[in-house]
Amino acid sequence: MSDRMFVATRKGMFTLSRSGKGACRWSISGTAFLSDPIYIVLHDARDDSVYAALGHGHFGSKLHRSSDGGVTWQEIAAPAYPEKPEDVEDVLCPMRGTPIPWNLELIWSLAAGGADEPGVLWCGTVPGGLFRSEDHGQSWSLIRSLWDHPSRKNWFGGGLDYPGMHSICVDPRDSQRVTVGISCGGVWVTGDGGNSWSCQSKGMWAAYMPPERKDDVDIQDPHLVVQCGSSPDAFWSQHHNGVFRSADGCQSWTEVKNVQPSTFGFAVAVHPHDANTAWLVPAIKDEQRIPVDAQVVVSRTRDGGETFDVLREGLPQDHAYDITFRHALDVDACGEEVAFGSTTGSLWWSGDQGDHWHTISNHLPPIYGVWFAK
Amino acid sequence: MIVPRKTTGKLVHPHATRTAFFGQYWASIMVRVTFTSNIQRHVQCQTVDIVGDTVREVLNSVFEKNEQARGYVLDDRGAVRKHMIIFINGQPIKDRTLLSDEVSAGDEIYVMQALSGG
Repeated sequence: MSDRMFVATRKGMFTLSRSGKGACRWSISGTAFLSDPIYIVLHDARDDSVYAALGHGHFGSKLHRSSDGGVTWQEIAAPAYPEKPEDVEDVLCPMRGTPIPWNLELIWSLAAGGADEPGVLWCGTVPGGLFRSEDHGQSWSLIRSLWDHPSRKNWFGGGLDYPGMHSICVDPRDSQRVTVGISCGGVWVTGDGGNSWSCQSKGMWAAYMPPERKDDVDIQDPHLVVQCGSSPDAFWSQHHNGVFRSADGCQSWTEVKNVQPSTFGFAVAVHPHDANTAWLVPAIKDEQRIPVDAQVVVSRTRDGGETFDVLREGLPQDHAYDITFRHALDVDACGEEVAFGSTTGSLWWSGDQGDHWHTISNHLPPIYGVWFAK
Repeated sequence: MIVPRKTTGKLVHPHATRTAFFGQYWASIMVRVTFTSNIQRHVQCQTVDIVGDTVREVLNSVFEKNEQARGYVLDDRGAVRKHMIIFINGQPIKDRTLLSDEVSAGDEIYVMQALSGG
């Protein structure tokens, strides 16, 4: 059972703890970086440290680390792109023809390395670079094997000006096996700690591309990729134009078509011990991005996507325009508690896999991410 | 060489103060650098008088003593962050990439945030 929850918002970070009172057993117990945009929070269970990625509008992206559960913070190094060698040609955005910069635009994902590699962190960024630290974030190295991959010329931004890496999954069986998701660059897998990569989005398709290119693996827009902890070959992805799952370590993906009330969304969470159980927060597809019928619901499958339960008890069902971003839905380590936040600052929690929802707050800043401590 | 700005008592004209302390040579090349108050929330950036012939030289000297501040003003490439702006005597610098704009005695550099990033 998780004892803490971390919420990243446009105006600061919130730590929630169990209050032990009432039907909703969570309450805000701490704040940090109030007024600053927080995009990612990582709780590293290996040493109980907490990392926060800030994205200052003027001053750039920064990383902070706390060793006391978020009470005090120390700024640590943010990943920095190396200078582009003179003999390396610019990679041009295929949509705009402009060079993809060798500059950190945004920290968009953080993941702890395996239990066998203390101090190792992975960091995904906009404009698409993956970084690795071996010293708890004191220094970072760009993973050149992926950044220099010829396929990168096909990547482009989805909703942002440049490609962005939002998902990093470290295989619990083998910490050298890492899967990342890129909008829009597909799903990439390394089996050797980042020395070599293969694009493994086969089965995904892109409605936003011309028909002859819709199946290209390296232009796919998986909004989020998550991995089942107990069945690490099982992955789920909420994609730009549908929901996909893989049962073979991303070698192939199968479309899940029965999501109700729609297949569009950003977030997905998979039960840590049951790869057939997953949660989604659907919305009207991409040009509108509001809840279907202005009702906030969560869709849950317990049979691998064959059928879905539309869960709405305790959620607003009248003129509700909350959207849940990709990092703003999480399930706890037991698979019983689920929480999600919205663009309008609402935060909901369920202690029974989503059957009943309880409001923690309707008044937070726009929520970018929700994570249980695990 | 960095000379912290006098922060208490009556401010003396920079030229007079610098001349008194360092003589005519230093006065001929000192530039004052002032940072936006907004940056102080994140990293303390004192107003300083400093030696240098270009904006890059001046800021490099500042950041050698305050490395954390570098990343708040400049990006990975050492260029001015896209939502930051640097003025010399009230005029935006022309070279935001290499910061090659020249400065001279008595010039004042202001490091500000651009409203475009607000």
